[in-house]
Amino acid sequence: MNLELVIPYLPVIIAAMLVSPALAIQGAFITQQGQANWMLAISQLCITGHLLGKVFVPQEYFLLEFLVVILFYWIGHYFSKRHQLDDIGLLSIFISFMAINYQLISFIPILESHLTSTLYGDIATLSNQDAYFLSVLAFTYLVLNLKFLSIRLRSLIDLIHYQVETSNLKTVLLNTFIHAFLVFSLLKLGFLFVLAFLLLPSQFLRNSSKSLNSFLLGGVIISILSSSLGLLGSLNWTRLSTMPTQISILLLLGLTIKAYSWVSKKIPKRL
Amino acid sequence: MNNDTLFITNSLTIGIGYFTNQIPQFEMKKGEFIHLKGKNGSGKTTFVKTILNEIHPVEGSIKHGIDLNDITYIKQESFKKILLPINVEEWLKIYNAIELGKTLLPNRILSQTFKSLSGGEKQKLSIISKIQSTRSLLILDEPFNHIDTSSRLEIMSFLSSLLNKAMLSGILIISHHDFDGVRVIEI
Repeated sequence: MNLELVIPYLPVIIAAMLVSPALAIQGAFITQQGQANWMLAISQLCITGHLLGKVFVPQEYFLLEFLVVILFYWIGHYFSKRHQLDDIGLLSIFISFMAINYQLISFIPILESHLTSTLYGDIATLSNQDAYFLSVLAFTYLVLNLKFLSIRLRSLIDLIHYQVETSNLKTVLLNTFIHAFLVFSLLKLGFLFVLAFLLLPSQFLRNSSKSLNSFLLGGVIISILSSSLGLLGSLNWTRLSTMPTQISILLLLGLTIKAYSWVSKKIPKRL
Repeated sequence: MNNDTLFITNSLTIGIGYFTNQIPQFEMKKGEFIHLKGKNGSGKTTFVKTILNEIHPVEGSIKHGIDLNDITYIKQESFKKILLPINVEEWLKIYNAIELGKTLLPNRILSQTFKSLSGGEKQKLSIISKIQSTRSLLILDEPFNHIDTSSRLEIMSFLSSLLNKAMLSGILIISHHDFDGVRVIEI
């Protein structure tokens, strides 16, 4: 591998190695809350907000543009919670807003590149400034999780199992930060990357792990490996697209773990 | 209301949407084990949610002699919603109940994931997690669904022992099964 080729991409490589494990950990919470379809619906709403922001907010007011997206995120969040939308309701929102997004392109063709980047974003094309900002967000997320993982898990189990919503200022602030992190990742890294790293590690590991620690650690390891190897691979072999390569490696690692877990469960029975 | 009253109903009518039901006047005292019985749709869970102040009474009231935070409600059929591969030791650590758990649960299950536990073991773990600090009122909603008779009897004796040791201030159990030696309230 040509190191000279890699050095300019260091900020992006660091971002990939921090964002992907953060998404994998958050994915564990999303899986436990059965929020995969919620995430699909919210993502499409955010993309609508992003496209409308591009139309109505001047380019130099990036923060305002981000606030438009956050507004759409909160509308979706509030609406789905208030009406206790089930999977069909959430998937209906997903489909409706996907159609609305495409409709927007037919009216304003200039939005097409923005839609493509929010759907199939490519981490390799991230600006250094965005890469640093995402790295800081992801690093903060990981540190906060190390500190508050127990509290987050307790409040999650309480909600599912004991019907007690343990909400206080700390958890509200933490959740707000997580929402902002997810929205920013979605805008900069794309729908497919974010959803893949949120859902796939949990899907592959939740039935193969014997403890929560090994489940989370496994998710962190396979997401770091796949995001960084996929990125380096696509830098070295230019015919490879970054994001599909990253997801393919994630799939490969996940399937290997699944196969190993299946074999190790079968072998003792045969002996 | 006496000092040992956990809660008392007063001309209470519960309801949600178009459904309403009048609840017989009764008082639950500290140390009591009550079995709440009723037909399907009679509003047993609605009554519990009224006790928890999640639903307002249609008429009448419930007076509490216990802080609402000291009521532990274990939901019906919530076990299958735990999807994470959390093991028993990790679960107990989250609830700062590791010592009590090691005393009350068999050692062999500590490294097992929650999902792999039997229905009875899941119930015990859920109860233990919530009893270590406060002498709470425990409310169990249909805890014996999909649990065999021997496990049911084992959990009932486990619950009685917790009550006798004053680790709980009272137990209210919603179930369609019949139990011996427990006060029955029919709604």
